[in-house]
Amino acid sequence: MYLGTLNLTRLIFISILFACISCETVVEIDVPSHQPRLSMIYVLDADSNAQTSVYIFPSRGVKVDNFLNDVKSVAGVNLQLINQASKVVDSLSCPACFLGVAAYQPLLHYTPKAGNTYMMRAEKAGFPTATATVTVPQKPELNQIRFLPGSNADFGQRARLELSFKKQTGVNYYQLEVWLLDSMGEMLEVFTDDTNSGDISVGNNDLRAPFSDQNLNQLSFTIAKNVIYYPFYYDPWGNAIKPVKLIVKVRSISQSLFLFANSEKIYDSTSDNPFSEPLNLYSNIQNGFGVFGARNAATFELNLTP
Amino acid sequence: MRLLFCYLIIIVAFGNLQKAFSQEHGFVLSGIIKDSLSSETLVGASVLVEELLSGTTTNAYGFFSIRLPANKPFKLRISYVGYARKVLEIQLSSDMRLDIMLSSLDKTLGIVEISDSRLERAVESAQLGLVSIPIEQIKQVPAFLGEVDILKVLQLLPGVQSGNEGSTGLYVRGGGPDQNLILLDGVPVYNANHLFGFFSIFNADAVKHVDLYKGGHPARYGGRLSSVLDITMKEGNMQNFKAEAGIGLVASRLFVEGPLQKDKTSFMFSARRTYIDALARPFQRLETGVVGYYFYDLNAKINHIISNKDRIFVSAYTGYDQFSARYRSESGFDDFKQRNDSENYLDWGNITTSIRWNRIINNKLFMNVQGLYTRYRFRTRNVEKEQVSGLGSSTTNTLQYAFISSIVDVGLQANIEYSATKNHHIRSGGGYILHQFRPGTIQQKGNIFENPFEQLQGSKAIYVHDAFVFVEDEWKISQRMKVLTGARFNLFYAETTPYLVFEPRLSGRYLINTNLSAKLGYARMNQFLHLLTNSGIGLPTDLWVPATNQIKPQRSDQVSGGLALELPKKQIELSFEAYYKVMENLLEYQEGSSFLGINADWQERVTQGRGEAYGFEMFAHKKEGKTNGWIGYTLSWSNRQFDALNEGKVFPYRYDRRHDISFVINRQLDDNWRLSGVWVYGTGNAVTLPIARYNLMDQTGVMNQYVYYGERNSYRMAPYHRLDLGLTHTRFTKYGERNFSFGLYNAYNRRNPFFIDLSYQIDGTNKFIQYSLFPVIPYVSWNFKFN
Repeated sequence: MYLGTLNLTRLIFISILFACISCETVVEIDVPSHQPRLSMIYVLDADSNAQTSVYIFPSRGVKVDNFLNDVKSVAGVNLQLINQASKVVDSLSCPACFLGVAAYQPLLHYTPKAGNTYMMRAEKAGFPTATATVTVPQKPELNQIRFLPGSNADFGQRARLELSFKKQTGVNYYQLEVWLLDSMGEMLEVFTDDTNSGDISVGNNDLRAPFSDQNLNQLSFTIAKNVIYYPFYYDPWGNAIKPVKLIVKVRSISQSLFLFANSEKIYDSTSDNPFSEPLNLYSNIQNGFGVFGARNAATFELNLTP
Repeated sequence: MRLLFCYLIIIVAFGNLQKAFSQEHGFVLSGIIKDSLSSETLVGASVLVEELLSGTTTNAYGFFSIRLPANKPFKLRISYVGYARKVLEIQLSSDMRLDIMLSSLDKTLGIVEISDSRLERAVESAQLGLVSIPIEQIKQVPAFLGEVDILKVLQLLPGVQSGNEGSTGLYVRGGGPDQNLILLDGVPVYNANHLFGFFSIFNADAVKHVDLYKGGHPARYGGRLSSVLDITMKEGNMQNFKAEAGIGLVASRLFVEGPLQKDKTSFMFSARRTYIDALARPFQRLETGVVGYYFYDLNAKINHIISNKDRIFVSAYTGYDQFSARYRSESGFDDFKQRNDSENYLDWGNITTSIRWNRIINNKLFMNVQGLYTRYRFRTRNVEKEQVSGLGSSTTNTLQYAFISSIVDVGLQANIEYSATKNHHIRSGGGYILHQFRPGTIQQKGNIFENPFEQLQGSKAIYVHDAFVFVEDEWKISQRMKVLTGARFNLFYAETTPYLVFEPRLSGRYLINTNLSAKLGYARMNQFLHLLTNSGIGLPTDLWVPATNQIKPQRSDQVSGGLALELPKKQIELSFEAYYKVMENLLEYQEGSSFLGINADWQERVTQGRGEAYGFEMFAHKKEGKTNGWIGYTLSWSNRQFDALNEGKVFPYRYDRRHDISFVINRQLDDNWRLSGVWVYGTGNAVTLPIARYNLMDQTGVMNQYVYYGERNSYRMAPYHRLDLGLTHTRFTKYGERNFSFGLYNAYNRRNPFFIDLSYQIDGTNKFIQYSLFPVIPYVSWNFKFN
């Protein structure tokens, strides 16, 4: 017999011993190093009154220590805005960047034009040159605004808001801000908890969520939502002071801003979920991180009968 | 559809014409091949006509049918794995029914020698990509924790890859784990895993036969893109009662079979249960928390011979896994007492049932009708119970919260096999399956102050209709050339969208000489069910969902070709196969999505794309002798492209594996001792790791930090390799036999990567840490057979 002399008890003992001394199951590994890139949010506003501020930070490899405590803007970046004729129309500088966190501000305060395409270029030694392009959207147009007061809600007032948009050519992206002005001059933000949106899908609980008119072929489309607002003042009998004016600010935004906002929303909602698929935040900046976007706003007002 | 019926009519008409000239075209020999001792039918037994160098194999019910020239003597060689070959001299002057008994080698010689009759015919067969592993050989391979696992042995074949360490997931030719049609007695099994994929649900004691199709799928199979795993359960001994039992480190098993009425009705029953929970229970107290886990599975089958031509089988399987965590707190004073019980459960399991009726209509025509039921259910439950007593009364309040997802199939299918002429063997059939999906239902029920209530929320049941017809023809064009042609029509009706698909199938062989043949095949497959998975390793949380108006069915086209070579003197068979497969409408979670909280809105969280896989496989199999085993090698690529993932760029599939090697050896040392070993090597898995971090601050001064992962699956883990060794001692006793197995899993203690995590250290440094699952693990098991 081949193994006649082999003691099985001894074999078992030796193997258990083997298992005990081999419980170390953690090994450190190395991964390729990361070349730092420039990261920024750079938004062109077709509204001449808007202030442009761009904060530029460096990316770091994940193995770099104390990254959160070491946040500093990158100083000395040559940040330029170039029009479609390849002419530099504005440059941004950051004289206070050496102090820590500071913004780059435009030197020429150039106002971008709707329909024009612009390129952003950011250069700095030690970083790859970051570039991106964007087309400034047209100003949005509304056909009609309706605001129908409704019942009382817990601590608030319900109403029905209907906005009729004039459809522009191509696919367009929008963002809303809706406010009420009461007779005391207080601005009241309008919210929604309505899952229905009329012709188009708009964030269920957030009127500010960006939306798109993709897949709509008609000349106009409507957003119809039940909304809620919280009065600031009450009369001596406990009745809410009624609003006197509705203010709707509609922004046309570039596709890059739309995709970035959606990506950011998913990122925020899943970053603590260990099972979620890895998500890179949307970026349209070549050799960099962040977004280069553009927007064009129009404000509409509706006087409300008391 | 019209073409299909025309084809059938032509073949049948052609067969009838032939009947008139049967003297010229021969007669039909048919019958059932059985085990001589148990009368168990033998699946895939080979019937070879030596003079014609052609033959056939028995179907899933042991039936064969072959047409032979009239009034000429022929030698029939009948063989089957582990059985003594039988040679019969036959001369037909009319159609003939002949049931053949084969004797098992282990009963006659005392030693199991493996010979795979199907592989014996690999050169002659026109089928591509089929591997049949004898169940006895599966039982000889060293097993993780001593639990014999069919799926883990299949992972050792070329073209079949395992996912992560220890997982039973199958990744066939670049496909996903959901793309395998796993059939247990013809019934689909939706989750073939116990203990999060570390064990498969198939108890090898209850299994008779295993077929795996990797390509060139016959038309009778459909509904999955990558492979078909067809497992047949034992039918039960018609002659004597027998039993087997096994005691392992984590589970024990029992198998019983015998006649209910000799030569008429038999039964088979097997059971397996783990006892980790029972062993740990004495060391835990409810007040500090009791955590437990167990799984069990039960297989049962009844086989009844109604007449010489009719037989009925009823088979069932049920398996169940449960994780539990329970906690109790008690408080009170004097007569007033309050007790709170909190129980949390995670459980999942399959139930399958099949009723089959076989009828041998005549020597040329065999029919099988099957009714089937299968259910897979996953559930998480939280039960809170509060008992308050005092002042002579007591109140009990209960509240249960459960998340349930399930898939249920009910179906009826029928098929026929027809030996139309000596050159045409036809299979045809059809069926209908009703699928019910519940991707996620939330149930709340309870009894608060004697007010019972129950609420259901989440996704409603989705009912989907699935119907199919198919026809296959095994056509012997000449002595050298044989083709398997087939066509399958599938109608899948989901929501308001009907999907009607046509799937052509073709494979053929050209016999270059008696020991060498060239093969070529093509198969189109459609898959109407998708598996939503984050892990890819077969977690119970994976959700089966149907194709819908919005989500298209998956489709694949696979071309494969190769050479089959026999080295008769060395008893070695070699096969070389290359394949190219494209897959459309594959489903993945969108970036940032997961199964958590998914229910009615699952369609919003997924995206569809395409895949491409190609490779080369080599398989050298020594099938007989005291030393047997195989060497498999696969060189492969598997890529994916989704518009919504990785910025639309092509990326490697998670289990893209450039090299995959397996080496399996069994050596019978003497009458009592057997040594076996397995060595595997595989290129590391492709994973996505965080590369960089960056901050963004908007114009209002709000700053957030983000992680950049780089391109999807751009990092390669370290290669996987492992050696398993097993030693078995068998002793023959008065009551039967007893064997003792001892072995080592991961014998040289390789730290294979399981996952990689970025670890933030206290000292401020960050490190990538690779976690490994199993070091060297010994196992022992005792097995008993009672005759």
